[in-house]
This record gives sequence, C-alpha cells and structure tokens, in this order.
Amino acid sequence: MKSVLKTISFGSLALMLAAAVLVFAGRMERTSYFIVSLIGTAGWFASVPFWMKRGLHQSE
Amino acid sequence: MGTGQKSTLVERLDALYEYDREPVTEDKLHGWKIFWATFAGEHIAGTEFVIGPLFVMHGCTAVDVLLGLLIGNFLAVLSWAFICAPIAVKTRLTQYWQLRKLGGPWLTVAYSAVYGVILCVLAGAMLRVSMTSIALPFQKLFSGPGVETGPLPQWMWVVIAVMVGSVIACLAVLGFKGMAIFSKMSAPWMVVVFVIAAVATLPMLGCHSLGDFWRVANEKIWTGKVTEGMGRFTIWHVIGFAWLCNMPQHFGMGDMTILRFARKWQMGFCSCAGMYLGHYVAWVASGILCAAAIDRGIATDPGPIAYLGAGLTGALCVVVAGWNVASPTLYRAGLALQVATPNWSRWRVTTVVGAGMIVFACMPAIIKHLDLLVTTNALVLLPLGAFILIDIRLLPKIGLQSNYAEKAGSLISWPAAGAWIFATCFSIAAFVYKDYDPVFPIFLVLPEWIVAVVLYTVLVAAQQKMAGARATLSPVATESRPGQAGPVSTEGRD
Repeated sequence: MKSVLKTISFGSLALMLAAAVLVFAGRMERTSYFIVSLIGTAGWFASVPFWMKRGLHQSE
Repeated sequence: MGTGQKSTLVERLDALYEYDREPVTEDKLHGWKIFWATFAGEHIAGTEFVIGPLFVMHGCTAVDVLLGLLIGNFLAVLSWAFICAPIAVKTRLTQYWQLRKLGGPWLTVAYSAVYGVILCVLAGAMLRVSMTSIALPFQKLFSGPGVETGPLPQWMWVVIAVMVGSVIACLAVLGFKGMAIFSKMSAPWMVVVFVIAAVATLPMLGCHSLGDFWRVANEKIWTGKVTEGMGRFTIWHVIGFAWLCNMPQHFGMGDMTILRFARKWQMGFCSCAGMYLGHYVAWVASGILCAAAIDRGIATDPGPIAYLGAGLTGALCVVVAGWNVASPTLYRAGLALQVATPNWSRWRVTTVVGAGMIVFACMPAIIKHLDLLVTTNALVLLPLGAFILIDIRLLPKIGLQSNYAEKAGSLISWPAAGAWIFATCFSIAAFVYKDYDPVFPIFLVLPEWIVAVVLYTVLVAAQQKMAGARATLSPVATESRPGQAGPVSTEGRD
C-alpha cells in the first residue's frame, strides 16, 4: 500500500514536471499546463501524508 | 531588579529549554537520511520568491548569479560541515545551553530577547509574502479603465495582513507541530513548483531551447540593469549573500540544535541539499519569473510572479511557503520573548508577537529590502556563534578554561557581553561611515567575526588572568568557590 501511495505522490510531481517541459517545447498550452499542475498538486497532497515520516524536530 | 526577580527570570528561561538541557544520548542519534530531508525542507520557503528577484533588481549579470550562487552556497556548506557540525557533535547540546555555559544565564536572556524581535520581523516578511498571493483576486476589485488589475490601497493591505496574520498567529498559539509536519510534506512539492514555473516561463522570454538559455539569461533575465532605488550587486555581493544569509545557523551555531543528533560531523555536508535546491534552484527560478514579470509590466511581488509562472498552483505555493515558515517562526519568537514577559502565558505572548508580525507585514519595504534585513540578522547574532567556536576550539589550546561563566558561577560573562556589544557597534559604525549603503553590510560579516573572535579571546584571557591573580592572593576564597580560580584546565568540554 505504501509503495502505491509513494508512486502516486512522485507520479504527481512527475506529471507537473512533464507538463512544464511540454510548455517549454511548445507542445502544450499554458492553460492546460495550469490545470495539470493543479491535478499534480492534489495528487501529491492527497497521498503524501500517508507515507512521509515526521522530521527531526517532530520525532524528538 | 532584586536577586529574587533575577533568579525567577533565569529559571523561567531555563524551564523553556529544559527539555534540551542534557547532551543527546547515543540511542537518539540519527543517520544521513533524516539530515538530507531536514536541510532540504528547511531552506525552501516563501522568501526564496523574494530573494531571486532581488538579484535581478540589483543589476546582477548571469555570471554573477549562476557562478556567485555556486560559490557562495559552497562556502555555506563548508561552514556547516567544518564549523557548526563538529561543535554540535562534540558537545551534543543546543546553542542555547552552550551559550549559557560560556556566557552565563543573563547573556542568554539578552540573546533570547534580541532573537525574539528578529524572528518577529522575519515572520512579518513571511506573512507579507503570503499576502502578495492572497491579494491577487482583490486586485481585480481595484482595476482601472482598460486595466484588469490595479494596485491595492494601503488600507486593503492592512485588512489582508490582519486577516491572514490572525490565522497564522492562531496556528502558532495552538502549537506549531502540525504546521511543521505540513511544512516538511510540502517541501518537495514546492521545489517542483519553482522548477516548473521557471521552465514554463522561459518561452515567454524567448527561450525555446536549451541553446537559447545563455543568450536569454544575459539579455532578458540578469541584464545588469539596476532597478531604481536599489544598489548594484557584483559577483562578490552574490557570493557573500549566499554564504551569509544563513550565517546565524552555521557560523552563528543555531543549527547545533539539529546537528547535535548527527552520528558524524560529516553530516553537516547534508546542508548542500538545502543550499542547492533552495538557495540555487529556487533563487534562479524566481529570478526567471521576476524577469518575465518585468517584461510584461507585472508587479514583481512573489504572488504575481508565481501566478504568472504556474497559475493557481504558483499562487498556492506562495501562500504555503509563507505560512509554513511564518507560523513556526512566530511560535519560536513567542518562546524567545516569553522570558521578558513576567507571568504571561504562552498564548498571550504569541498573540502579542503576532500583532507585531502584522504591523511589520504592513510595510512593503520589509520584502523590498529583505536582503538588508537578513544581513542585519546575521550581523547581530554572528558574534555569539564565534564565542562558542573559540570557547571550545581555541581556549583549551592556549591554556584557558572553556565554559568559564558556568565554572565561576557568573550571571554574565563580561568578556562575552563586551565583545558582542563592541563587535555589533563596530558593524553599525562601519555602516554609518559608508553612508548607510544598503549593499555594504554583506562585506561586514567577516570583519565583524574577526573583531568578535579577537576581542573575546583577549578579554577572556584577561578575565582568567585576573581571577588567577585574585586566587593566588586569597586561596581561602578560591576553595569556597571551586572552578572560578583553580588551576587552569586545558581540557575542553567533551
């Protein structure tokens, strides 16, 4: 389950990066890129709380 | 102030940091992974949206920024690895307790008060960053004929500051743990938002392939043209700024709090994750966004440039980046200033500090001159870190005692207090001498550090020599106060 959630998280970030590269290459409209970025953001924040460990400050 | 009051004040301050009083034990030490994550997460904040554009407006060239940041951040990493981490690993204590040992409890009271005020101002800057994004929809309300958006009047900024600042203050009052966890979770996403915003904005500047980048970087982004009202930055300013902007953490020893948990001092090198993601990639990216905003006649505030680069995701990133840091910063400011507010509860102190943050956030200059603010912060706190380094590394080697205030039972170490005040006054005097040149303080950091080190060493030597002479004259007194004037120990604190 954890690996699935991690895949969703990093897949979301990869999606955002891919959209920006496509805009750079002139193969995607900026409006579509904005929407894809929002979807990637939602994917990241929906999945990351379930697998990311707490940091140094919180664990001590 | 009576002795009773003094002891109460010191006791209260000690109680705040009681949890960290003992050196970290072997079973609580951490490996590499957590330090990579901690440093990467801590150095990506809302202020990166401000600092990148500052290099554009200070008239830097592409070489100044790309090479200067490479060198400056490298120096910062070396400072963490060779200055802060070895001391943290050796003592396993926080900066607060180490400072208390060498400077006495009253020095830590002064340090806490100064640090609290500085954090309050920085929280104001973070809040202002968030506000620039939240203000975006309201700007449509003030549009003029033929213009989609218009500048907000000052009263509207005050309203936004009160609204947003109140939420941040509430979060800080309720406890910042949840916010700190959210901050860690959002850090990788923020790095990606910086990168995608820059990549997707490059075509707007005429960069359609990697081969175009260098030309566009020189002609459109870091053009060397200084914005009116800003001083000129050279590559030396960029190197200096990249190195010193976290001076309170490395040279100032603030990150002893984190690195005391490191198994090895080499883990100080993990700071390169924060430096090269937050202070290289993010600053370069926000510089690109700023240039695109200038090209299109858009305001160069964090909110508008992030919205230009990544739409709503960019605007959200600015809000998250500002809040993530503002709330814990405010919490820590409240904690630091609690000592100066007798019998006030934590929530009351944090609320008052939150009000201060809102006042600072209403000042546009707070982000326009963020570089000067960061430099001042470094200059004020730097000497204290220098004292810790000298006390542990140098004093035992030249036959002087470390942690002398603790051994002598002093309330304050006059060599530390004197050297701190003198070194800070030295920087202020040099700044005044240079006609308040706002870009000059960057070059004061190293001279101030040298002044602080030399003066502290000389004064400590004089203090211990005088105490030794007094002990020789009255050995009975020495016996009654062990440690103050006994045989000079060459042992450092282990």
